[in-house]
Amino acid sequence: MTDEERSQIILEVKDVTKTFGDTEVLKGISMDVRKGEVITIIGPSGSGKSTLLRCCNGLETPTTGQVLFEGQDIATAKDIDAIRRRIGMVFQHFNLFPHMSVRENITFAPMNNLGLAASDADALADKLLGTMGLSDKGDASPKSLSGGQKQRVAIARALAMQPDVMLFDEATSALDPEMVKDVLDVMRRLADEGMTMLVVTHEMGFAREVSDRVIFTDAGVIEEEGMPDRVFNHPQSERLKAFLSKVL
Amino acid sequence: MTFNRPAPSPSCDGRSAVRGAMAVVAVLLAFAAVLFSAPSPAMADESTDAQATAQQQVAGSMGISLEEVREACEAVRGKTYVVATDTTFAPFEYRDTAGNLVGIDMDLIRDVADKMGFSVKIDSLGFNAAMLAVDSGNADLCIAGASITDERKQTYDFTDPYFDSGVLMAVSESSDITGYEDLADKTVVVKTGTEGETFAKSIAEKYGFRTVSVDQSSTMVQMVQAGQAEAMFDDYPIVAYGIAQGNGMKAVTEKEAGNSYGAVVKKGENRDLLIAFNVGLAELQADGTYDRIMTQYLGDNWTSDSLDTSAIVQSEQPGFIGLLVQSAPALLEGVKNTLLVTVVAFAGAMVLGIVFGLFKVAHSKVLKAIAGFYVWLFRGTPLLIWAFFFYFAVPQMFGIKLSVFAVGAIALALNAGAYITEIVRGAIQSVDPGQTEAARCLGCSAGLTMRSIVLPQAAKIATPSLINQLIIMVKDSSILLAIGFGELLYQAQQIYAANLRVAEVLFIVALFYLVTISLLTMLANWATRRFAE
Repeated sequence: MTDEERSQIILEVKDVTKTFGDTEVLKGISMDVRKGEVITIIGPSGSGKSTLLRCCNGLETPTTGQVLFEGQDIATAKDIDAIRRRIGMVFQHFNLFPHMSVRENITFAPMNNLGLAASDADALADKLLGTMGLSDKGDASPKSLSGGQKQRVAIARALAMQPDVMLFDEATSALDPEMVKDVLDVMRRLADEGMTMLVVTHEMGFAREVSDRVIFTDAGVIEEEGMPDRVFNHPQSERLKAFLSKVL
Repeated sequence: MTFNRPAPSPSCDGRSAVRGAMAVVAVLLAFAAVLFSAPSPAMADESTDAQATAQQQVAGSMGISLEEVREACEAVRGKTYVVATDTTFAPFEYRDTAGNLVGIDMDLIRDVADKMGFSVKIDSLGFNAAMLAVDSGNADLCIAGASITDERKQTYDFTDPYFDSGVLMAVSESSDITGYEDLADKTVVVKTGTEGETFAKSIAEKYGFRTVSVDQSSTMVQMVQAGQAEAMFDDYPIVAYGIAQGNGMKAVTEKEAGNSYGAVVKKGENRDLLIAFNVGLAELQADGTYDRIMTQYLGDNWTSDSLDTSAIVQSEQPGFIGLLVQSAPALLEGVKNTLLVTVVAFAGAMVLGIVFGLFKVAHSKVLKAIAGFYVWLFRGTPLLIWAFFFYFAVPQMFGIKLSVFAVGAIALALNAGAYITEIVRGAIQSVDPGQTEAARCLGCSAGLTMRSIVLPQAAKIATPSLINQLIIMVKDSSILLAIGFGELLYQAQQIYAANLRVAEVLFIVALFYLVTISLLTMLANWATRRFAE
């Protein structure tokens, strides 16, 4: 890795382990995310993908090891909120705020955390809703939306903070099949626009097509990683081969 | 029906002899006082002459100087005293159909106050609460048909006796009981802390009956009528009055000689008031007012050996609808007080519940422990203990006197606050943790997340439980009748204590509760819908 490449690293995971009770979910994981990079994390359920992602913005604290955001340890950071403002996250179950309208869901954080004026925040929300194909949904209640619409609002909500990195935690797993495409299209466009993305997914087609790098985790370790072509077309480890034979 | 007055007991004779001697001393003292002090112009006044005589009499009976009596009479002039009394001790104190407190005690204290130039504020609390109120300094004087006993003299100073009472047994009109010997293996009901209780217990073993103690004369009558007790023992004027009002009881034995009644002040305090009461009483006895009051409540021949209940003034009793109409103003006043104390207490309980509920979900172990202690303490102790604590104990311990409304609101708020703490904690914890994660991932602080994301959703979850708690509080507030707070059930007690129609009044008051709570529920549901939109 050259110095220039090193300076490009925005998120660095160093020897992270995570134990819940007696269960060691992560058993020593190291990886880094460079600016503009799109990384997908694949692997069987229970392999620790989500836990790894949640360690990247401090939703989980590593039992040992460190997660550094621009060189700063997230676990000991003085202002975790300031770091989180720069890391967007999209959840499997959307987690929209049910007591707010769609527009308020998007404007709430920029207004309260970035000091954006209400009018600017509204304009931003309407612009983002436009790019999501939801221009007419600003005043709607989240309850009235379909799953795919909800997830696009959730992405717009995260983007409204103008983050440097976006984390996607199985963003399409809870959707009906016909809605998956709408959400993946939005994610693909985001990747094309150069957003740094760390994506936990079961959508192998998306991973193969959009990723700069694919990481395969199994049983709490990174079993194999590399360019999509290498991972999908020339898998080395038996576990990856077995996994791919089941999902492809 | 007749009541035979027993021959005066030897102790009465002894007391008279002492009084006689004292009177001689008093006359001498008065003579000396007249010699050595110039008479003031007011002394010429006729009413003042009567008072001067009364003052001399009291100086004699109390064995103190005329000077001290005069000074006391001077000291009380223009002052206002809080007088505590029972709620239900007809004919000594009860509410007439217009809701005014009347009775022998009430007429006496008002007339004494009139004569002596002071004002009284009467607090109708119930017997035990009234006595405790004097002890705790919440009241200056208690006049509630209290028998003069050595035990009470430990805590209180008694005025001169104003009534010679006695204990009389009463049984249901249809009862076969004709004397104490028929009470074997039966249950007898008595009133806590009264002479009737002492007397009944003293003969219980001899005649082989059980005693059960209750708080009110009307409860005793109801227990006998309902067959839960065979007989009751009460002070004879109360029994006589009840029979005269047609309460379905009869007296089959002669009355037992008993103690005299006196008003009380706290031992060693309010001595001026005590002396002035005695002077006023002596004056009322001298000018015939006292006899007139007794005749009004006990009948023409109240002094004779045979006491005829038919001579007692009977109040006219309306039918059920008439009773409803008649009691409505007092019950509406009760509804107002019930709602007022409930609403104030609910507001306080919400503040407590939200603060301690947040403590419960806080990371800090100290805050968690504080909230845990609060809930443990107030959920584990009855509301009534706290009402008594704030009303009786706090004034004695810290010298802080609180109004009965304040005490009621505080006790109710502390009690309900413990339950609301748990409601709030449960509601916060039942908000999807994904909501907090989403907000925190957008860079919201823990405080902002709690305020703007979690609490609005928790409020919605908690609302049905909170409405439930509010309704429980409306009913729980009836406990405050024990400290004499004029809420709905208290008003009902006042009414049936006077007219003795317990079942009908309770039925009416139940209707009032149902209507009140139905309206409150509708209002709460309407507010919830408005709030949710």
